[in-house]
Amino acid sequence: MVQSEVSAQPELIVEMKDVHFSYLGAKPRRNVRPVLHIPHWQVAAGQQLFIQGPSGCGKTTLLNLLTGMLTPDSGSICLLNENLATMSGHQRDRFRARHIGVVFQQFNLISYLSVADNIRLAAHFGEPQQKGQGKLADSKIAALLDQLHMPASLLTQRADSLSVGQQQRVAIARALINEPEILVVDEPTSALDSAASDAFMTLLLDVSRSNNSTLLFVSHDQRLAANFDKSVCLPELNRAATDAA
Amino acid sequence: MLLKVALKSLLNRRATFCLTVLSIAISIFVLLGVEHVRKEARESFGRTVSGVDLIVGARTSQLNLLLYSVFRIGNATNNISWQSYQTLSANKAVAWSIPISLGDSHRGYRVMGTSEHYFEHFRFGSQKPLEFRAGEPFGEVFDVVLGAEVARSLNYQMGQKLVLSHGLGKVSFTKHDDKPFRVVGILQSTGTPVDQTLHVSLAGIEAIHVDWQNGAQRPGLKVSAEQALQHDLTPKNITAFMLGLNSKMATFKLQRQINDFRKEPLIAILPGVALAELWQMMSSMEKILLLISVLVLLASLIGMATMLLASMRERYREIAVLRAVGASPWFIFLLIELEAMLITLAGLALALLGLWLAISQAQDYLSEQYGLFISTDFYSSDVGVLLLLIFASTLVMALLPAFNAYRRSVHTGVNNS
Repeated sequence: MVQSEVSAQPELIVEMKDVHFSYLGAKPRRNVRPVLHIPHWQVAAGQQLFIQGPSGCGKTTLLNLLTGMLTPDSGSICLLNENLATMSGHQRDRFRARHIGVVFQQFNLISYLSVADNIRLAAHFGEPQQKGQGKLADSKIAALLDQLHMPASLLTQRADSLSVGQQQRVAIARALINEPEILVVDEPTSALDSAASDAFMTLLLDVSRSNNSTLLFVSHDQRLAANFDKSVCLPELNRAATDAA
Repeated sequence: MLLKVALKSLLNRRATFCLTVLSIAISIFVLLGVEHVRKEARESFGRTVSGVDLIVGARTSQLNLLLYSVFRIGNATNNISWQSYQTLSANKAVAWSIPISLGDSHRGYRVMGTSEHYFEHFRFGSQKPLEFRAGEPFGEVFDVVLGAEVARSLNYQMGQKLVLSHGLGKVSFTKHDDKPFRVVGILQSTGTPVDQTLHVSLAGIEAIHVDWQNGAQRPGLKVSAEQALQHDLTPKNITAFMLGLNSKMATFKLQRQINDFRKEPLIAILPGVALAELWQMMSSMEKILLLISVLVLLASLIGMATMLLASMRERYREIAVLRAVGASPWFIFLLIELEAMLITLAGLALALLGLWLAISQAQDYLSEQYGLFISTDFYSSDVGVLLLLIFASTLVMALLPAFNAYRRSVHTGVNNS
């Protein structure tokens, strides 16, 4: 069973050990190019980490592994001291719903649902089967939107009627509604102009700090690194390329 | 939450949703319609006559005799002499007999000449006797008793005079307008062809044909109504007659006697057996109709699966979002199945509404033209089974798009761009 309640903030939020991954599975075959090999990597609680890398270096794969969408061929990926690699698919889905918030580059919301319903959907998966959860979630949603400088009138609008910048901010609210320990963000500003992008970054960093979430921010854009306490370069972390050489 | 997402997603694709619902509705309409009409027709035929042990007519097929004597469909091939009727109905085994004389009509409704025994002995449904809403059986030669539907649709009142036409056409040029009949009774509604019939005495039929010969009025020989009453109005011929027996045991014996009757070629039928033969003939037809309607339904369900499958392409991002917030691949699978169920449910509701409207519109026409009484009460255990099958096949047909979505959601990472 997954221990769903983590009592104290663990020292390490992420710890990867000897993770191997290739898209053709673990069976040794000729010409199978490993996509990712991370011997050891860890992230401490409360950090705001910038993960930089050019396209094609395994960023997306790393994100899929971190969120439990993919499982490694070998090695362990521990989030909050729980090993994703040994969980069942269902357990990983539950874990992701409760402990990880995700923000994509674009198209974060389900277009035909209202803003409120988009956020409620995340709340639904995060804490299923609780009575009175609906009202609690609604007051949390209002508070989050306020934090993100968005008027409450947006709540009833369809998600696709919002501007891209607004959609990205709603995506943050959606990602934070279950108070996740980990916030995974993937190039969220690529669809924004530079002014909107700066404002968005400031907001994201503030909100994730005030929510005590560890932020894992992935981008190819080195300029954004200045906003973070710590940055890491994925090509240095990932030994897959050097292994092959 | 699942239901909400499914509903909103369908409403988001309003046009395809509506078209798919429409196509499903039409096919369910056809399927339930065929099934309902089939069952109602049987029931309607089955309840038309009861308590009659034998029907006797000039030799023909037993179906023809049954159809024209009871359902007023088709025509007699020949008549029976009054004498044969007298002889046979005097048989010891016979408890009562009802003579029937057909061939005239009134504004498209058939006129039946009979005796007062008809009102006494004829039974329909589960042994229900005929009842009068107003008036009483005919006493005089020019009295007529109306079926409920005749009185209602032609808006006839008690005491009103009406004229019978020769032959069965709706518009007839040969009317017995010199000898009008007076309405003395109106029957309660029975839900059988009795409602569509005008009943007169055999003497009345005889009286209007006094001055007729070989199916046409004799020129220059007009006989007034008063004069006609002076004639001997004992009928020379009747079309058919019904028999009730003292003991059911004698049925087959009497049937053989009648079939072997020397003076005239006759046939005696058991109504139940003749009906069974009718259903046997109909059953292959019914099966083909049912098969066609099942195939139509299948085509619509495939159309629905195609629609859902095609929508998967544009829902790629939606699936990625759902996965990111923690939806399991099963949630995605169930979402698609639920959407399919909602489409079928909407189609079903539309089909039932349509069927109800169609039947309530067609009811009068069917009962007038074919003597078929179709109720708007569809529900029966068979229909229940049919509905379950429809939903089951919806689930099965939706497996394809649902599995497609499931597979996609397993392979879709958090990257949705």
